[in-house]
Order: sequence, then C-alpha cells, then structure tokens
Amino acid sequence: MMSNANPESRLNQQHESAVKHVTGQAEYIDDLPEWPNQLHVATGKSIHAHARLKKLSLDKVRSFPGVVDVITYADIPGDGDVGAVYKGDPLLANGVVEFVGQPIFAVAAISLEIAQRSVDAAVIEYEVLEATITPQDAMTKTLFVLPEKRFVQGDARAAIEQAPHRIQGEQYVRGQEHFYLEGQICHCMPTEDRGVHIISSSQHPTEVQKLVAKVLAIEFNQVQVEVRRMGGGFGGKESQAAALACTAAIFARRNQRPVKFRMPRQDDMVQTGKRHDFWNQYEVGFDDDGLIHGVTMDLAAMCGYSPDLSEGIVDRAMFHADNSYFYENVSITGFRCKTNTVSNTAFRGFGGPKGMMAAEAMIEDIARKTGKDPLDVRKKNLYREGRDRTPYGQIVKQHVLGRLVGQLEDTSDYRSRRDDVVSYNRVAANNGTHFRKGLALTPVKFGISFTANHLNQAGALVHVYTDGSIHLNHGGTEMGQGLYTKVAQIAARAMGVSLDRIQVSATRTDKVPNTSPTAASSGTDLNGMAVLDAVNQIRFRLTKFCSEHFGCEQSEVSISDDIVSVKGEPYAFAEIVKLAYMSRVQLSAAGFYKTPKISFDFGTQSGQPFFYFANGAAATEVIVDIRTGEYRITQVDILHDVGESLNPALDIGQIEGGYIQGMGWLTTEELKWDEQGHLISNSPANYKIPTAYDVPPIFNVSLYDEANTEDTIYRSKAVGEPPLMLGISAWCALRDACASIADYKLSPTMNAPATSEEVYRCIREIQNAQGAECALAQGEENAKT
Amino acid sequence: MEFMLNNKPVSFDIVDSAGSDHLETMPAPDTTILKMLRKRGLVGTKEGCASGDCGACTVMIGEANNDGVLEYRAINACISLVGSLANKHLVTVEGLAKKTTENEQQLHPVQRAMVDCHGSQCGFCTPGFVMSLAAVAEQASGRKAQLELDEARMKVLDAISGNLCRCTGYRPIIEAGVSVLTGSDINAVGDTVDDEVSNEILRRPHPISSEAEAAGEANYYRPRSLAALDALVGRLGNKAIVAGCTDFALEITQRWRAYQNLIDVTRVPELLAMTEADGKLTIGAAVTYTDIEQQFKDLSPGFVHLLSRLGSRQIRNCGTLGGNIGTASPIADTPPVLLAWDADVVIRSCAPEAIATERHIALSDFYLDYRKTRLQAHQYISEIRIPTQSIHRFHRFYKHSKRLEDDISSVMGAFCFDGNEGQLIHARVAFGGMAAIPLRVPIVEALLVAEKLSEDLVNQACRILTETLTPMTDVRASAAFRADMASEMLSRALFEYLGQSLPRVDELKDFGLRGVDDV
Repeated sequence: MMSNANPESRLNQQHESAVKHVTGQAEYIDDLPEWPNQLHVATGKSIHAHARLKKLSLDKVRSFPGVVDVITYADIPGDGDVGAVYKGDPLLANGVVEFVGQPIFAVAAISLEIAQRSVDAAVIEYEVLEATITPQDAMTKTLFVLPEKRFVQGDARAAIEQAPHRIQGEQYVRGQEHFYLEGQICHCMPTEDRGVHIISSSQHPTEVQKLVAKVLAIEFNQVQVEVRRMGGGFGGKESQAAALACTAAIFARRNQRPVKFRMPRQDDMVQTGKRHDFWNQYEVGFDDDGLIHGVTMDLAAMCGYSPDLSEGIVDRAMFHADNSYFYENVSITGFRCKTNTVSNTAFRGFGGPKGMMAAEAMIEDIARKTGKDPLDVRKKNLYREGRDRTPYGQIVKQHVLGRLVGQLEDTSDYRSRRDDVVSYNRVAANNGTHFRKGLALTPVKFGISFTANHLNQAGALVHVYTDGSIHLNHGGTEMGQGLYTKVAQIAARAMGVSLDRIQVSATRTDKVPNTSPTAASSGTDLNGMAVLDAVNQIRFRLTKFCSEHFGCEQSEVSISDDIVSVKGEPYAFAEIVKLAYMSRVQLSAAGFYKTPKISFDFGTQSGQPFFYFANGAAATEVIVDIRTGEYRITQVDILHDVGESLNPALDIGQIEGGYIQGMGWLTTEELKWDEQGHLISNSPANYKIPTAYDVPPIFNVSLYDEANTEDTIYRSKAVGEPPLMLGISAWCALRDACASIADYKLSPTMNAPATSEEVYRCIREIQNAQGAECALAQGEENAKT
Repeated sequence: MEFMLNNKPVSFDIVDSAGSDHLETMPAPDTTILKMLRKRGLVGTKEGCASGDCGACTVMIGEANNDGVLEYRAINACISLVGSLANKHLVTVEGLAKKTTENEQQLHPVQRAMVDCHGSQCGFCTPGFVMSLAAVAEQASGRKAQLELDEARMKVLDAISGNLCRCTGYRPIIEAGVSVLTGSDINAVGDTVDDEVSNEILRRPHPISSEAEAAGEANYYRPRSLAALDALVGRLGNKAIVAGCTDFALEITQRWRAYQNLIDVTRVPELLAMTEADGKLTIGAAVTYTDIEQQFKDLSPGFVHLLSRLGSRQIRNCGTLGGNIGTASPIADTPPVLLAWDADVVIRSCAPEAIATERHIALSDFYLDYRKTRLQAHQYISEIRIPTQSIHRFHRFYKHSKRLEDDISSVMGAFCFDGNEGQLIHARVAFGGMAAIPLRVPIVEALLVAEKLSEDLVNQACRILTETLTPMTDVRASAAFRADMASEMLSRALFEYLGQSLPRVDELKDFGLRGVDDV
C-alpha cells in the first residue's frame, strides 16, 4: 500500500486504481462474469436521415436462430421518450426516423454476434422525407430544437459603427467524437421486487435510474444504478448512457434474464451524440490599439434532431464567447439548429470551447488589421479591475488572467521566440523554402458551476467501522479523472487519518440519492465538500465523545496522522473509534453541499451563474510545410490555475490530457457527414484522435500558484474541462504560420479542425489574397504614373 | 493444437474435451484471440474497437527463432485468430507481474513505471500500453549498453504507435517507457519460459507436412509446405487464405461474418523467405512489414521510413506484403512503391487435380478495377520480386494522411528515377488514392524522359498528371486536394532528384525537431 510518511507524496498520490489498471485487474462492465442465461442486445438502425416508417416486418428477425426477444416502440411499457431535459428522444423510432443510425427496433439474443447478425433480417420500408444536414441549412429554413437566446450589454451596433476599425468574420468549427476507449455499455439484472439492478458506464447514475423507472413504469426506488468506473466519459456518458440501460431493462423485465448491452465501436460512433458543430459569425469594432469597442456574435449550433442537453450547451457557448476579454458593448446570440443527425450532447467544455473559438479568431483578426502581435491585443482586452463586467452581467472578481498570462509570457520566453519565428519566416520567404513557423499564446477563462442551478448540490455517505477503517460513497462518478482519489484524500485530510484507511466504493443510487451528473468540472468541488461535511460530523462526534469520556475540553482533542490526541495523550484512531462505538456514538454520516452565491435569471440577465472562474494559458509553436499544409506541433508551454492543488500529479494529468484532446479536436479529428446524412467518419480508421507521435516533444506544464479566493474545497479549483481549451493555442499557432505568408497583414478564414488540407487551403487563400493585393497595389502604382 | 499462455501450456483438442482435465475444445476457426482470452476470464485484455486501431487488446506473442530463442512481438488480439497461436507463447497483461505471496505481487518494470509516472487515468487503454511497452522492453533486454534518451524516445513512440489513449495526452506514458528503456531494470519474460513442457511446445521441430485441426466441418489449416498449401487452395479457394489477418479479420469483427475454413499461410517456408538472386530481391508473400523493415534498413531507408507510417507497430508485426497487394485496396501503401520499382508478383495456380503452376506478372498488370485483381479462385500470390537495380535507383515515397502516424493514405506517391545530368532515362510515377486501383502514370513517365529536366518540364508533368488522374472526394480528403498533393509529390520528387532538399514534416528528427533550422 501507499506510504503516507511524506506529505508531499500524499499530495501527489497516484490514482487509486493505478496498480489495478496496469495489471489488468481493474474491472469494467464487460469484464464481469457472464451468466449462462445472459442476453445480448443489438439494434436495427435507420438508413435514412429523415423518413416515415411505412412498413416494419420483423418476423425473420424473431425467427433468427438464437434470437430470444425483439421489441419496437409499441413494446415499451412506460414512457418511451428518454430525453434528458426536454422530450424528443424516443428510445426506439416511433413512426418517423430522424437520423441515419436511429434505433428502430432492438433484439436480444444469446450472443452479441447473433444479435448483430439478426438485425439485417428485418424488412423496413421508408417514405423518405426532406432532410436537413447542416446548421447553415437549418438557419435558412429556421429549423430549431429550442428558441434562440441573447446576451446584451451596452449598444454593440453603435459601438461597432463608431469604432475606428471594423471586421466581420466567420468560421465553421466541427464537432468531436468522444472516443472514450470503453464504449457505451450496461448490464441489467432483474430483481425480485419487479425492479432492476443496473451497472452502467454512466456519468449520471441518477438519470439512468429515473429514465429506466419511467420506461418500465415503476417507482424510482425499484431501480438501483451502480457505477464503479468508466473507461473514459468526457461528457459522452452524461445523457447517452441512459438509452442503453432503458433498452436492457425492458428486455430484462420481459424475459427475467440478465441482459448486457454493449455497443460495438461503430454503433457507438453512429448512434450516440457528439460535440456540436458550430457556425460562428462575428463583427467587431476596435481602435488603433486593438481595444475592442463593440462585438456582435451569432453562434449557430448543430444540435441534431432533438434538444438533449443543447439548451445548456449553447448557453455555455454564449457564456464563453468572451473567453477572457472585456466586451463593453456586446450582443451574443445563440441558435439551436435542428438537423437530421444524431442528437449532439455534452463534451468536455460543454459549448464553452465553441464560443472561445470565435473570440480567439476575432482577436487575431484585430491583430492583423492593427499590425500588432496578437498577444498584445489579447493583453489589451483581458478582464481587469474596472473592465470586469461579462456579457451576462457577472463581475469578474479574482483577476488571475493578467498575472498568469504575463508569467507564461516570461517562462515560455514568448517574446524572443516570437522574434525568432518571425525572422525564420522572413528568411524562409526570401529563400523560397517550404517551412514556416507559427506561435500563439492564448488564455482560457472558464466559468465553474452548472448553469442549471439545481444541479449544484451533492451528497456523501461516510462510515467509520470499529477497526478504524472508513468506507466512503458520494454522488460523483470515476471516469479516470481521479475523483475517487481526490475525494479519498479530502476525507483522510479532514479526518486526520492516513489514506490507506479509506475505501472508496462504487457510486450507487441506493447509497447516495438524487445525484447530479459528474460534469461541468464540478466533481471534486461538489462531492469533496459533501464528504467534508460528513467527515466533519463524525469527527465532531468523536471529539465530543473524547472530551466527555476523558473529561476535558473539546479543544484539547485533536486527530492527525491516525492518532487521537487527548490532552497531549496519544491514542490510536482505531482504539478511540472502538471506544466510541461501545459508548453508542453514531459512526456514520450523510454529508451534503450546495454551492453558495449562485443564481442567474436569463430573462433579466441578472445574477451570478458561476461561483468562480478557472484560468489558464498555453503557448504553442508549430512548423508547417506550405507545399502540403502538413505540420508538427513542436512545443507547448502551459500555465494553469487550479487554485490550491489537491493533487498536482492528477491536476497535471488533466491539463496535459485536456490540451491534447483540445488539440486533436482542432487538428486531425474531423467529424464528417455526407449529403445524405451518413456519418462517414464512423470508425477509428477514418476518425483520427492524436497518437503519441502528435504530442509536442517539448511539453511543459506548470500550476499557477494562487489559491481560490472563493471558499471551495481547500481553496482548490475545478480542472476537468478548462484545459481542453488550451488546445486553441495550437489552432491559433497554425493560423499564425499561415498569416506569416502575407507578412502578418492578412488572416485566413481557418475552419476547424485545421487538418493539413484546411491549412493548405488557408495558405492558398492567403497567397491568392496577397497576389490580388499586390496586383491591386501595382494597379494603383501604375495609375499614378 | 498447443500453445503457451502466460507460461502455462494450453491444449485445444478438436473433439469435445469432456472428461479430460487439460484438453479443451478448439474454438471455431474464426475466433479471435481476444474473444478466446475473455471467455477464459482473462479480461485484462480489452476491446476498444475490434479493428486493430486502438491497441487496447495488445498482447505479446513469443515465437522461437531459428536458434530456438523466443522473440516477442506485440500484436492486436482483436484481429488475430486463435489458430495462429499454435506453438507460440501468448503473454497477456495478467502474465507480467510476479506473484510473490498470496496478496503481494511484484510489478513488471513497465507496470511500475506506468504507476510512478501517473500513466493511467481511466485505465481502459492501459493494459494495451503496458503490453506494447513490455514488448519493446523485452526486445531491448538483451542489449549491453543503455539507450540514449532520444533513441529510447523513438523506440517508445514506435512501440506505442498503435495504442490510443484519450485521457493522459501520452506524455506520462512516453516518460514511463523512456524510463524503463534507459534504466537497467529490464527483465525478460522469455527467460522464464524454459522448462520441458514449454520446450516441447515452443521449440520442437515441426513436420513438413500439412497440419490442420482437420475434423468436422470447420477447420483452421496450417500448411507447412508449398505443396500442402497448393492442395488446400485448390480445394478451398483463395478466399480462405489468411496471413496477418489485419484486414481480413474486420470481416469477422465489423461485418459479423462467419468462416468455416481458413488456411493460415504463415508457416510455409517459401512464403516467409527473403532471398536475393539473379538481380531480383524475392520476398515471400507472408513476410511481415516488420521483417521487411529489417531487410531494407540499409537498402532503402526511404522505404523503411514509409513503413514506419504504415499502420502501427502491432499491425506491422502481423501484416504481410502479399496481403497488402492481394486485398487490392486503392489506398494500400506498398503497391505504389512496388509499381515504381517494377516489381513482379509470382502467382501460383493450383486447380484441383492439376499440378500447380507458377507464373510471374508485372504488378502493373495485376490490378483490374476497384478491389479486383487477376487472381482467380484457385490462385494465390506466393512471392513478390523486385529488381535490385530498381532499389538502387533514386526513389522517393511520399504519403499524405490526416494523421501522421497509423493512418490510411489519402494520397500515396512513389517515384523512381534514373538518368544523366538532368536527362532522365528511366522514370516511374505511381500513385495510390488517385484512382480505383494503385497505378502508374505512363503518360507522365514518357514525358519525363522525353527531354532534359527543367522547371517547365516539371510544371508540364504536374499539369498532365492532374489531368490524367481521377481521384475522389471522401472522408480522408477532397478530390481537388488529392490532385494538388499528387502534383506536389511529383514536383517534390523531381526537385529532390535535381538536388534540392525538400524534407517533409515526418522526416524531421522527432526530438526537438532538429534539422528544421538547416532549411
């Protein structure tokens, strides 16, 4: 077991499952022993993006050898809609299909292979309807899953018109496939009380419980949902896991047999939601110094066929369209476009990254227009005292950004590297050689709290047993981020005992009820505080017991390093626990926490949606082959704000992983649908997440040394999502390299991801524009003479 | 069939093993190693994609070389078949740590380093990374001197090229691998496999006759001679042939097809040989990319470099040259190279009841249409022959793909030139990804030898090239971009021939990207 002698090593505690991970002993759902009578599920899928089902004949599926049961929408005993927030997600198609891959019927068979083979035996006739595949098309047709929303501060139109300079720009930013290594999966066992016990790979066990109960038309208390660990989540298992559990539960109830529903990779990629595509348009007015006077932004999201979580996701895009910059006069509009594609869902950043992309593209455009270093334009517009009101009215209070960016500027040696890059490019241009370099330093400011206010609560359950060992449950789920490790560290620290006393076990809806999803980076903030509350209750009872038992003041009792000190006399923690038990002291407690200070009214745009902001900045350098658009990312330097780190090793892991995931989103990961609405990037053979080779060989990460000014768990800050957006610096560096071709006077419209093909297109765009400008200048010159 | 699994012998019998303690029923011929392992409760090996793209299923395979020494390679268990394991040692993540007492285990150095470097987060990909790193550590275990940092880093990147991680950003995994390779604590799994049973299974000489789990209707055949293979192909047809399975297995795992009879050609000596005679380098169709890399190390660093971008280390350890040609994919990486080198394929015909015959055809005559070749049902590719003269000529192989590593080409260009002082007398221009088949472009080749090379001629050749080829738009690239890239590759190769240095980003030395400032 781990040694706790050195507090520093305790701080950098390894992941609680690290040894189990490396030896293959960590158990995932597909690893559970199979029951002899277990059933396996597959679904029959729509081949059209939008169609009416004219005929559905499943006789040959039912008679397929090894198939045990087949269900359609009509067979759902309760509510057939499994929409997470709003209605609109039928578990199985109900007369109409709205995306390619939509489940029409489900099969349970004695093996996965048989289930998968049998679905092809279905005879389905469609009446094909008009399909909408892109957000641009949906905007033209005014097709939305939910109404638009707008933030307004000041008079953006007037400010833009009166500003010395104006720029209009647009960008298309594609979505992202989660590509968690463990695909969607659940196991469902019927219970003796007509209910079900579900083991799910889900970030939101309570929602699985709720939806399974509704689908089966039973009470919530008849459904238990358990999650020990996920093989990655990234938002993709926030709402998406529930449909599998609901389908499995129906089969389990109908057949009274255990059921496993595991999606093979391609089904997972086609049938579950992804990060939204966004079509961003912006207009900005600014002065010679690059100071922004007014901004309007239209953010149009490709939501897919149903709302799912798109309300909050587009809200968060709007909440982050300022990124780190003060917009005195601003109007930001978010559109939720309805398309005949899979319903897009949560993905690390939850819309925030899309808003930030618009902000960063705009800042660079300003820099090119004013001839300034983009970093100077960024610094000019950063939030600071007096320029601290966000577009939604919240005031930024802890001004980390200015200092953090300045510090990274120094430690990354930005200025001299900038000079090197510029002179390298000028020499290369003169010599006609084919490499160009790019460098960009971009900040991130990310609001922490669920914008759905009621979700900002958490519960915990802590038991101390009479041998002094401690059992810990809370509402958060473990998907690799190290939540269980951090929460155990919090419990050990709060109780004053060593970490190896703490056993964290699977998250279960029958231990801690009514939980919030492990999302919005909130896992540690919420559950850590709830555990602290529970531990404090028990610790208080032990202290009180000691003072009574030993006849002293409570202040004379303390617990640290597994020792209870009473009037200076040391007792083993286990000894005191046993004594307390014999004296009938309650050694179990339920903890609770709700985030203070937050409330927001969209109607009046008043209040405070975020408890605080997490910040960071990254400087990325690239080298680009301008003959092909191919590139390498050569160096990244990151400085990130996690407040007082609870575990620097885990935090750095989140930062590095977030950066690479963000870099992947903006470089090689290209989600693509064809015109008929088929997802053509439907496997790891054609959807390319980064490999180790793509990782910059120089990769420096540091933690910014400043505590959270808000009273969070031990003054730490959330770290799950914010680092993803550090990856934007890679995209900006590529755009910077392209801009060098016109000596930094022009900025290409660079869509995302910046694949080599897109970079190549930008290089040609710049070369052509430069050619046109030269021709124009030549023309003017000629006209003069 | 017998093999070793984590140092213990396993025997699969063709008949029901009821009543026997150690014999188990042979799984169906189309059973993957991954499926077999997980059914046995060895669930540390994970399925992430079932298509050889993510590496979560990576295991090590040990095979005795000619000296009887076990050599270990990492492979993807999800697309490798159980029948291929005969007389090999399969090592899974469960087989690395040593149990010291009932509750204690001593981690393998790679496992220890992964824990110490915080190399796992969600943990699902971790067993695969551990196995890939263990394989490279195993290969490094015999060496005397310690590796330099840069060399270790390159070896680690190569070893984990087929492992995807979505959580860590790889940095700590690379660090873990480097720390093992630069450290002294490398232990050899093979050293522990030395008792009599394992010798009997892994090192005994094999009969030169056909061998098969030949009973009932489902058979996994492992012929050990050309004659035995001829007979099987004559009887069952070439659709039953499997070698590395890196493409074939997707039929099973992605399209859910079932196969009754399979012929594993990877034990036929003629198909495994690489020989040089009569001005030709002959490569057996079942030679893996990894073995070709060794063969070409000095012969053609350019080809070896290209191979480093073909699939991943796990794929290269299994995939074969014959397979790359035979699947007739328009985006396969090696056919353009072989076209540029004027390679022949040796085709064996073995109609039932007839004596097998052999003929050579130029690869440029082999492909007919999309996924169609001249091969008839009773024919197979036994060898590929490359004129050594071609290999010694100036050549350049360029691959464009969305991701630099482990990705399928959007455009693959191969060029081979010879001439005097700017006048080409020999030009080969071949492409993948630019038509329904891999092809040469004779009209451009003819133009290039027609007059002295000049910038004008290069431009003219590029223009004619783009007019001639008919690429398509798909998920990997647009038609227009493909055309631009093909033309860029041709001009780059020609300018390099003329003495210019135009390295590509993947040719830059990885660490610190040295070499960039020289341009």
